[in-house]
Formats: sequence, C-alpha cells, structure tokens
Amino acid sequence: MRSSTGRTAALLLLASMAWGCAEEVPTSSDGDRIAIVPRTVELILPWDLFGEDARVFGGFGSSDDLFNVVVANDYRGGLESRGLLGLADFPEAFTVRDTVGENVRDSALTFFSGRLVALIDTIASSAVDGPVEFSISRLLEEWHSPTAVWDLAVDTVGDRRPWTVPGGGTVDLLSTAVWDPAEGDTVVFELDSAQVAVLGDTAQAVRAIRLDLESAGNRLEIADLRLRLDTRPSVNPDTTLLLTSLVPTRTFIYQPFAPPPPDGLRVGGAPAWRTVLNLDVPRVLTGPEEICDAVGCPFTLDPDQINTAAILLSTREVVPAAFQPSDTLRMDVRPVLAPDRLPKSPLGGSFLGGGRGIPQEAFGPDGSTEVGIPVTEFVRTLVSEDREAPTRQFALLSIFEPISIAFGAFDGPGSDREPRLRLIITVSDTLEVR
Amino acid sequence: MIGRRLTALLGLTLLTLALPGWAGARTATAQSVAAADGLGAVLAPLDARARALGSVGIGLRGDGLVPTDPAAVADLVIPSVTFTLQTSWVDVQEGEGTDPGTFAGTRFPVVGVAYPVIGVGVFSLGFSTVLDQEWRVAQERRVDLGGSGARARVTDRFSSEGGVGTVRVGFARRINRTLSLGATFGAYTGDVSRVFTRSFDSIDAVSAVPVFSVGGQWRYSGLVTSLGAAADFGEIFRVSASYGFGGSLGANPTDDTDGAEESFPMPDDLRLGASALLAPELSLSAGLQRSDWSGTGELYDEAEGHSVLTWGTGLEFTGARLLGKASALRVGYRRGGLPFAPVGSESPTESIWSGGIGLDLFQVGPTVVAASDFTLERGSRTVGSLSEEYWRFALSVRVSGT
Repeated sequence: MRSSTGRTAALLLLASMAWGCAEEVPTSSDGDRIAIVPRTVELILPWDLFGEDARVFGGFGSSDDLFNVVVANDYRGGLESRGLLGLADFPEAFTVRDTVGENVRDSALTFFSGRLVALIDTIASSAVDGPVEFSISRLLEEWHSPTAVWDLAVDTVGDRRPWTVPGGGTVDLLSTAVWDPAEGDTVVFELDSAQVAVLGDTAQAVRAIRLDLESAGNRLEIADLRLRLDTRPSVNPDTTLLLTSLVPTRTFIYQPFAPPPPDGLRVGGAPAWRTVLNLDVPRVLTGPEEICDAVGCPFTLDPDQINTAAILLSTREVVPAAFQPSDTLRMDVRPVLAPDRLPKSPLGGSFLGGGRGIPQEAFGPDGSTEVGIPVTEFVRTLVSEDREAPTRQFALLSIFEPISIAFGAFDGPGSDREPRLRLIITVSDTLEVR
Repeated sequence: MIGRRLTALLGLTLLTLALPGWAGARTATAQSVAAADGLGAVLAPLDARARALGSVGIGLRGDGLVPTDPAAVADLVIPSVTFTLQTSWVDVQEGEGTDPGTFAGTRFPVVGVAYPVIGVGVFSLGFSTVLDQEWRVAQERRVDLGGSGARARVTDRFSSEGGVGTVRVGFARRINRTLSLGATFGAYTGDVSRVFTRSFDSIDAVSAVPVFSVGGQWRYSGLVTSLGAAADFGEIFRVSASYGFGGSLGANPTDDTDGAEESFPMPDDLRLGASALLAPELSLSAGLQRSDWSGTGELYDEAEGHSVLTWGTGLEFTGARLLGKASALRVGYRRGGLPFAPVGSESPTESIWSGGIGLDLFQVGPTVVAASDFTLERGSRTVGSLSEEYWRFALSVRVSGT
C-alpha cells in the first residue's frame, strides 16, 4: 500500500510534467517591444565603383560541337551558313537471302542509287513562310571539321589552309530538294548511281557533302542526317535492299563573323563567347551621394549585412539580327579560378545551378531589359576581412559551350546602361542585453 | 525503506531537472508576455502550498524549505528533498482591437534539499527562479528600400530565451523556543539569448534572400544574500521576516557575442509574514513583500521599473482526509505589482485567487516523509495595454528520509 502510494505520486508527477511541457512561447505582435530596428536599404553601385576590366573572350568550342547543323541564306542581315557533312564508309557486306532461300553474307554489293535524308528541327529554326529549296554538293577540298570556318578549311597548329573559295571551296553539285513545311519535317535529296559511286569511293581524298540553303531569308537547323543507299545483292539480283550509312561528321561554317562591340558584353554563340568581369567592391563606401544619403558615409560594408548582391546587366539588341536567339538564352555565371591564364582559365562552380533563362525578346530591337545575376556570396567574400577571395573575376557564359549559333548581348562599361551592382543590405546596431 | 525512497525521489528530482533541458536558471518556457518589458517578469520561487495560501513566501507554519524564508527550515529534523512544478495556461490581449493569443508553459521554480545536523542546525542547497526572459515578438512590416524605390515585405522576429535564477546554500538554526534565524548565500545563474531576425517575404531579388540575423548570448553572475528570522509563540502564532540583498546582476557576453557586458542593480527584498492558529486545525496566514525595481528600470529607454508591494492572505484547514490520508484544504488571495512596464503606462498589477490541497502520502509516526501539494490559481495581470488572464497549476513534492 505504501509502495503503491509512492508510485502513484511519482506517476502523478511525471504525468503532470508531460502534460505541462508543451512549449508555447509567449509571442507578442507589438513591434515596439523589439529592441532594435535594423534598416534594410538598397544600394545601387555604378560600374566604376565596383568593377573594372570587363573583357569578352571568344572561341570556346566550335560549331562542330553542336548537335544541329545550321544552314542559312541571307538571313536577317546577311547570315550565310552551310553545312559540311563527312560521310562514313559505305557498308561492304550484308546478309541477304539468296535465290534458294538461304541466308548468305554478300560482300559484292552494288549501290545503284541513294538519297540524303535530312530531319529539320522546326522548333529551333526560324519561321518559314513556304517551301524552301536546298542543295547538296560534293566537297572537293580537304577540311577539318573542328576548326573549319567560312574562310579556313583547316586551322590547326601549324596547318592553316583557307578554302579556295570562302564558304567551302569549289564543289560539285549533287542534288537539290524542296522542303515544304506543310508536308512534314524531312527533306530528301535524290542521288543517282554515279553520284553514289563517287561518294562511296574510299580512294577519294575527300568524301563529304556541303549542304546549302538556296532560298534566301531563312535560317534552318538540321537535327539529323542519314544517307540511304539502294543496293542489289549479287546473290539475289531481283531484290532491292535499302541500307543506311551514317553521317558521323557534321558541322557548319558561316559568315559574317561578328566581333563584340567595344562597349558591349556577349554570351553564347558558336564558337562561344564569354564575358569576364573583374569586381573590386570597396569595403568602405564614400559615395556617391545617394548611397551616403541612405547609409551615411563613410560606410563600411560588412559581409553579414549583405542580404543579396546582384550584377544588373542591361540586354541590348543583338547585331547582326541573324544571331538573335530564337529561344530562351540560358546563361551561367562561374568564378574564374586562374585569371592569369585567361582566356583558358578553369572556371569554378556555377553561381546559378542550372543557369538563368533570358527570353529571346530581350535581345530584340525593343526588348532591352535589366537582368540580375546573383553574386551574393562572391561579393560577401570580396568585402570580408576574414576571408581571402580566391578570385575577383567571374565569367558570364552560356550554360553549355557552345549551345547555339545565337548569342546574347549586354551593355558594357562606358555605355549608357553599363553594369551596376545592386546590394540589399540590412544595417543594425549591435544587439545589447538590454 | 525511507532511505530508498529519499534516494528514489532525489533521482526523480534530477530527472526532472534534466528533462526540460535546464541549464542553470533557464526556465522551461515563459509565463507572460510582460517578460518583454525591462529585465523580465518575476518568477516567484514559491511552492504549491505557499501559492494556495496567497503567501508571498514567508511566515507559514511548518518547516518547509522556502527560498524566501531562510529561517523556516530551522525545525527540520530529517533530510528532505523538495521541488515544485507549475504549468500555466495564459490568455493574452494586447490592447484594443488586437487578436487575443494563448500560450502555455511549465516551469520549475523551486528545487532544494535540506539536511539537518543535530546540535548544529539545518543546511540547505537550492535552486530558485528570479526572472523570466522567455518571450518573442513577431511583426510583419513593409520596408522602403530607398535606392530604386523598391519596397519589401519582411517579417521581423525578436526572441529572448533564458532567465535568471539563483543557486544558494543556506543555514538555519533555532536559537531558543521562540526565535530561529537563517541565512542564505549564493549566486545568480542562468543566461539569456537575444536574437533578432528579419526574413524577406517579398522582395525583388534575383535569388532567395537569406534571413538576416543578429544576436548574442549573455551569462548571468553576481552574489545574492538573504537573512531571515522567525518567532514562534507556542503553536499559536508565528511571525517571520527576511531581507534579501539583491546586489548586482552581471551579464557577461559569450565570446561570439558583440554586445557589451552589463550590470543591473537588483533590488533588495523585504518580506514580512505571519500565521495564526484560529482553531485547532484552521490557520490564517498573511504577508507582504516589497522590492524597488526603479533603479533597474533606469537602464531602459522603453520600460521603467516600479516599486512593487505584494500582499497576500490565506486560510488552511488541516483536518481533512482524502483517500484515507491526512489532508489540508487551502484558499488564498494575493495581489501585487510587477517590476516593469512600458514607459508612461500605469503601474502594472497582478491579482490571484488560489485554492489547493495538501496530501500526506506517507507518514511514519508523527513524521510525514512524503507529501504533495496541489494548487490551482486563477490570476490576471495588466501591464500597460497588455492584459493577461491565466490558470496556473502547481505541484510540489517533498520527500524526507535518512
């Protein structure tokens, strides 16, 4: 009995504790009880206060790296672009059923016709009003797919060879075809036996095709190319087989080359452009007047005060217009880890994690807009007394290089809408115990 | 048998201390929004019996271990462990037109052990609460960012977590049949963490804006002393007095705190109380307590300290039986002030009606070795535009043994 009384008391106590331990801290909505009232202000720093040495570098990757082949003819300001297609060896043997019904391997194939089938990426291509005409020709000059450009067939170390005629040199016309967008997304170029024979002749120094867009005012992108070959097996001449030969080498060459303007920044293109900005954010602000009015001068920036920091870039119209993005431009921002090795410096991890999409309209004639690039941690490190910034430079680039022949353009230092640094900071007195 | 029970209850006491994550004087949670004013809200270190009788913590009959009555424990004959748990449910209204709020929380205002040494006196060691500093404020604001003229919607939060307590050692001795004296000596303990955060709910930014935060932690220190005397006139009447020297409360910032060290003058504390036997099993008790917090309040811009006079009275009937055990029935009323209020507001007041029972759980001869007290209070307080009404349940357990 006595024992049960003690247990009862203990249980009662524990039950009471469990009952009462639901914590609900008294919370007031009376803001006057807050001991300090920090101020959150926006500071807009002009370029000459935080940045220096904005540079645009080009030549990252090549059109050979792109999945699509771009062809254009006098497109929006004169873009000319031609596809260069390197052919694989034709099939040398195939297993076919002979006249008595047995499967035998036939290594004496005879190709009597063929066709080049091109699949058009209608989403990535410019809008087409009606049927457009293409042509394919046989390349006659040696070329190097990763380095070939409009003027140069080869541009490797120690080997720089121009085309005899810019834009792919002299060629032999093979075929023409008309593509009607109303009928589908495939265009077919017919080849006769002689043409097939030449294209399949491995003794030829060059086995390649140039793809031209003949209809002016268009830019189309080819997503896939296949060479279909009609063959007649020697073991069963009454049968026609259709074999496919891949087109393993695909690139395009274009003109004009559009160097960035001196007061402009550029991102994207193929080969790709990068813009590198060098930030020198002062730890102590002594101006301009608007900032001093907001926070008082001199004002010492503390990393913990910086809520967010963003570079504000104004988009500008892309010129020539042919290079205006036809889809959202996805831009990335990454630190330059070895500035002294630019333009080949390795880059650090992305600030954005997935890139930042900028609508293509922003690069049109009436679409100028301001784009914010978050650089909060970067700037915090720059103004920190405790942390040594590994780099003061970061690169603006497309999320993949190259990702498109199109590029984005921004107003650079010295222009009317030069880059600005937007800081949102919260300034607080030290919190005391009373 | 008794020794095992004492050991078990001592273990339970330690478990009680460990469960809510106590550290020094930290209370489990707050009891009032008024803790936001000045140095905090007073956490009276009263056990359940004193609360039921409307006592200010002095002058009650018996030999309980009461932090505010150093001489009361002088007649203790066997070692005792006592602790008190109390839970509050509070309805709060902040001015006209505001939405009422509710909160609840538990605290442990008194934990102590007393050990008599025959022929010498009674030694004690105890922890008791002094001030509660557990509160929060949350407010949404629209902030003009200047610059480009942008505005942002933010939520500001300020939280204070912690409190002030004391750890004391004491000694009490009966001088003669009438007079007993007692003294305690100890130190302030506890800490407070104060953190302001601003979260950006709606802001024109290109990426998520992290929460802005500033704050710090301070640990309390300082010495505290109290002296007490009790005079017993037979079994009929007892009168007691105590005087506590508040000294100064030091608040020392931790290494990663930018805030400054601070020293708060703490008020001296005078308590007077008496109990009279009206009938063989019916007694009347009354008491008053005075402390002047105006000096402490001078450190604050938004709050001011007040001189607090608290009085209370109660009746205790000890002839009842409950569950076959000797029991006590108690009622009481207490009214007083609060130490801090916003500048310009009227003196804050608090009044409490209370009732409770005492239950002797285990008795060996005339000695009660295990007892518990249960009290339910209904109180209200007004601090400036803030008004609170609350229910408070208190439970005290006392176990004695050798």
